[in-house]
Amino acid sequence: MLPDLQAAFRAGTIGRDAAAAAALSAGGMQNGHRFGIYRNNIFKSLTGVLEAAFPTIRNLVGGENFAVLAHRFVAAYPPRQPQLYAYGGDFAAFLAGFAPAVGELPFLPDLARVEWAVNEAYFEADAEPLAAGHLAGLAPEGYAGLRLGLHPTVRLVASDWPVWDLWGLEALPEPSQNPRPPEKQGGAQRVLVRRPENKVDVVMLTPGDFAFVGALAGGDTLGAAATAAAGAEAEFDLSACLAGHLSGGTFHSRVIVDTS
Amino acid sequence: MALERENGLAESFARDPVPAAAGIGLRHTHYGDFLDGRPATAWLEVHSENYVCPGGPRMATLEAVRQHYPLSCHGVGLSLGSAEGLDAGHLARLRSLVDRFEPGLVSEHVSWSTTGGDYLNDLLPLPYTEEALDVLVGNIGQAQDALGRTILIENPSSYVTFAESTIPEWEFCAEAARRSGCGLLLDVNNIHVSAHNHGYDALEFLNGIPGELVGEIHIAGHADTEWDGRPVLIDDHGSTVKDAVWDLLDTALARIGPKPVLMEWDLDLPPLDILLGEAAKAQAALDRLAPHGPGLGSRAMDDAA
Repeated sequence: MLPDLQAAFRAGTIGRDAAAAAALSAGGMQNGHRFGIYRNNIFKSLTGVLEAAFPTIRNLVGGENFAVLAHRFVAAYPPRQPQLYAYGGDFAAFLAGFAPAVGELPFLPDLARVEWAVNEAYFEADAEPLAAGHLAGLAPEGYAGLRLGLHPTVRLVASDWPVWDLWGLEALPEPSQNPRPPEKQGGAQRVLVRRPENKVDVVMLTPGDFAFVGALAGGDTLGAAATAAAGAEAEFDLSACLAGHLSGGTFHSRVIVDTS
Repeated sequence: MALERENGLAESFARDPVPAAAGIGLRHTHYGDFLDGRPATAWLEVHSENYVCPGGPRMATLEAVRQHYPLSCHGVGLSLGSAEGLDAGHLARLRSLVDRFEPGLVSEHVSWSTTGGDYLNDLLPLPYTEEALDVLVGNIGQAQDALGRTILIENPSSYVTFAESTIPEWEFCAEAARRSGCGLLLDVNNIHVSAHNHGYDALEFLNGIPGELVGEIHIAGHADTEWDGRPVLIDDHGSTVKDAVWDLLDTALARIGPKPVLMEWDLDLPPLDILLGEAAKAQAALDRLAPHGPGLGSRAMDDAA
């Protein structure tokens, strides 16, 4: 019956169950020695999908190692949807649980989170970023009550590893045009990803800036977000931070003034 | 009955019909060529699953390019042969795609990819049985209802067959089209690959296809290689079209008449000029057909009557 045959194909391909493939041949599949062509097509094509989504990791571990990781990932987390631009969201979680990879390169899961954020931003819905002039007419006392919505492409990733430095090691299909700050520091880094128009930006944020954007993402007013930022970083500079996000396109064009 | 069906096909494709001329696939590698200029191709085909994302440069590119070319949306992920039925969410995404871009043609495959909710990213073979035919016809019906239009279904290339099959592949495809009211996308490279791999005559396949149901033809390159130490043709869409497939295209066009012909290339994409060169050969095959082809032949008969 068709459901059994299809289940056996799944087991014999992504399930890597040699007995299932043999049973298909015993059950009347002809030229069964070619069954491996299907298994090969599936693993190879999905490895290609993951290479495109995680080019830095592919570059850092090398093609052969990446193929091993990809094959194990495909077997553990097969795609559940045919639109493969959305395949790979579980790669970071998979890497975190994959001892051989994490043992040597413990930053890999967080780097995968940055690369996935870039992938999501690339395919996310388009929207108009907030222009600086939009706030110009507002009285200064109104600022604290503003709720600035984030652009739909914005993603935040915090890591104990220098993921922003690491991510820069491989060019992406749509690389950021933004210049990077000259100082490259080690240790923990916080990254904001956004795509205000066609290009994806990957920006390193200070602890205060990261807390600021995180608070806005949680629905806080500008005043509350500034307080959270000052708590995270003594030298937090609100006006410089706002100016950077306004010119970079971090905010959505819809602005709500909280009059309460 | 046949006439009603044909009118149905023609009507749903009327908004911006894909012409009976040679077209090529639009691939990321060639976005720049199409954004910077207006390459000479009569129409374009895209893989539907690549354009169901919410936004971003892919969608913007297709939006811009669509203004200048008739479009065909060719699905590779709907899994019309799945015993468990279709993914309603994916059908809804495809509906949004066709509503937004209004393609002249929408097509899918006589194959399956999804089982137990897992998407095995390949066009997997069906046994050609009454059971599988019922599944396929039911799923095509669901797809056409969800999309609000007629689709074409493409004969696949394959590497294995099943002893339980009771229906020749060409009859299976034609019968699915008759029962569901869809049309056929005749892939002559797939006919050649499968005929070679399974030891049947490609011409028998062609002769078993009702020409009036064919709405599009595909050609592509394949790899003449070995698997497990034994020779096999693999449908990799990674090279120019082989001579045997050009011959089969001529035979198909002579039998069926002029149709939109797509030059497919998906692996190791060459510069656009090479792809357009292959499409030009397909156009030459269509042009050679013109004085004697069934299309003009029947028109001449109408004029005489």
